[in-house]
Amino acid sequence: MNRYLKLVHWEITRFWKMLAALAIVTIVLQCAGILYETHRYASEVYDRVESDHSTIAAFVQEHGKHSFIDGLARAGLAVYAPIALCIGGLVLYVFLIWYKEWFGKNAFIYRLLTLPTARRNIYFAKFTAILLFVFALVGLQLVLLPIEDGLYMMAGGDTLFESSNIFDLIANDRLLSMLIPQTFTDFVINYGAGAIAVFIGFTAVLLERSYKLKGIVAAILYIAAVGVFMMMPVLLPGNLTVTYWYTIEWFGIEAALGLVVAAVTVWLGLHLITKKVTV
Amino acid sequence: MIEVKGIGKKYGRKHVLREVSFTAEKGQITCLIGINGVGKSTVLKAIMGLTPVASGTILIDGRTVSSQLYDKITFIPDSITMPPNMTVDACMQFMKDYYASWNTKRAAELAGFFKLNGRDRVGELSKGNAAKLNLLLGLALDVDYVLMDEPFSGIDMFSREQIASVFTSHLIEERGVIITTHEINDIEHLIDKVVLLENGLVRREFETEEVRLQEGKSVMDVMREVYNG
Repeated sequence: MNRYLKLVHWEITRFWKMLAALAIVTIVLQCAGILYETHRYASEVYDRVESDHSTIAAFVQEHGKHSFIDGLARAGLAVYAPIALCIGGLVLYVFLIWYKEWFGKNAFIYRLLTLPTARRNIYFAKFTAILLFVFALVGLQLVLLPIEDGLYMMAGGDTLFESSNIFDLIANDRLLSMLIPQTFTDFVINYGAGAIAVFIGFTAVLLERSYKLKGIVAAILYIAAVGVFMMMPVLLPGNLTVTYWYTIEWFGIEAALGLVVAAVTVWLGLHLITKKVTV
Repeated sequence: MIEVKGIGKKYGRKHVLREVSFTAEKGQITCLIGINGVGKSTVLKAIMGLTPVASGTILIDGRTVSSQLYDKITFIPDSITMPPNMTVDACMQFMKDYYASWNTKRAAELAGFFKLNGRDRVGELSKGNAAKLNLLLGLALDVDYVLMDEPFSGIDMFSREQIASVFTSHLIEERGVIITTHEINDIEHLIDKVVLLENGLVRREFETEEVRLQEGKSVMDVMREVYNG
C-alpha cells in the first residue's frame, strides 16, 4: 500500500507540469474568450441602441438580459477548445504513461519492473494517476465556471447582463453535463465507461509491449470483441431488448456487461505486466 | 545460488536461447561471454523476470523470481535507467524510498569514490559518469546477487579502471555476481567462473582457477579454443 501510494505520487510528479500547462491554457482561453464576447455583445447592443435612437432599458425590456449561459454559448470555441485539448491530452497520456517508460535514451521500465513491490501496484498507480488528472481538470472547470460568471458580470455590468445558476448552465450544456454529471447514475455511467476505456487502453499497450506486432493485432481484436460484447443485447435476434426491456433493465444489463469487460480487462492487463511483458 | 535450468527463448522465428543451463554461486563472479546477439543480455533479463522464457526454470536461492526478491537481487543494465531530468541526489532518494535494502552510507561512499556531483542531472552526465551512477544505484543495495550487463561498454579507459577496481573491493565481496562483457581483459583476473555462449547454447562452463591450474590456460585461451574451433 505504501509503495502503491509512492508510485501514485511519482506518477503525479512526472505529469504535474503538463497538467499545470493544460490548466493554464484552459483558464486563460476561457476567461479571455468570455471577456472578449462580453465586450463584443455590449458593443453590438450599444451600436444598435444608438442607431435605433433607443435606450438600453428598452432593449433589455424587449430582448431580456444576456445571461451567462448565453455568454458561454457565444464564447463557443474559446470555452470548448481547451476542454477538448485537456480530453485529447489525457487520452494520449493513457498510452504515453506506459510508453514513456520504454522509449527515450534512459529506459526507466528496467527500474520500474524491478521495484520490490507487486507489479499490480505499478498498474493501479498509473490508473489512479490518470483518474486524479481527470478529476483535477474537471474540478478546475467546476471552480472556473462561477469565477467566469463573476468575471462576466464584472466586465459587462448588471444593466445588460445577468448571472446564471451554475447547475442550470451545466444541465443545459451537453459537454459539461457529460463531464460533470447531474445524478449519481450518470456519474457511474460516464466515469465507469471512462475507467473501462482506460483499462482497455492499458491492456492494448501491454499486449503490444508483450507480443509486439502480434500484440497490436491482438489489441485490435480485443477492442473489437469488447465492442461486440457490449452491443450484444442490441445484436440479439429480433432486437428484443431495445423494445422489450425497461430503461432500468437495459441499464442493468449494460452495467453487468461493463463489469465483466472491466474484470476481464484488468485481469488480462495484470497477467501481462506480471508474466508476459518484455523489456 | 542462481540456477538457470534449460531456458529457451525465441524472438519471432529466431531461437535466441536453447536449453541454456548454468549456476552462479554467492561469493563468486560468473562471467557470461559471447559475441553480440548471442543472448547474454536476454539471460540476465530472464533471471530478473524482465522477459518471459518459453521453457526451463530459473531459481534464486531455490525460489522463482518475484517482486519480493528484488530486495535480494539487482540488475545493472548497460544504460542508465533513471529519467534524464532527475539529479544524482534525486536518483539516490528514489532508491531509498523504494528499496528496503538501500544502504545510504554505501551510496555516499560510492558517490565520493566515483566523484559524482549530486546536483548533476542524469541527462547531462557523460557516458562514463552515467555508467558509474548506474553502478552506484545497483551496488548501494544490500543484495545477495548483482547482475551487470556490459558495465564497460563504450566508456573511457579511466572510468573503466575505476569500475574494474570496484570488483576487487568490499562492495562485491560475499555477493554473487553475474557479468556480461566484451572487455574480458579488464576483469579476467577477477572472474571465478566463465559461461561461454554461442548460438543460444552454453558451449562451455568452467572455473577459471581450475582451468588455469589443470590445463595452464587463461580465459582467452579457452575462448579461442571454443570460438575458433
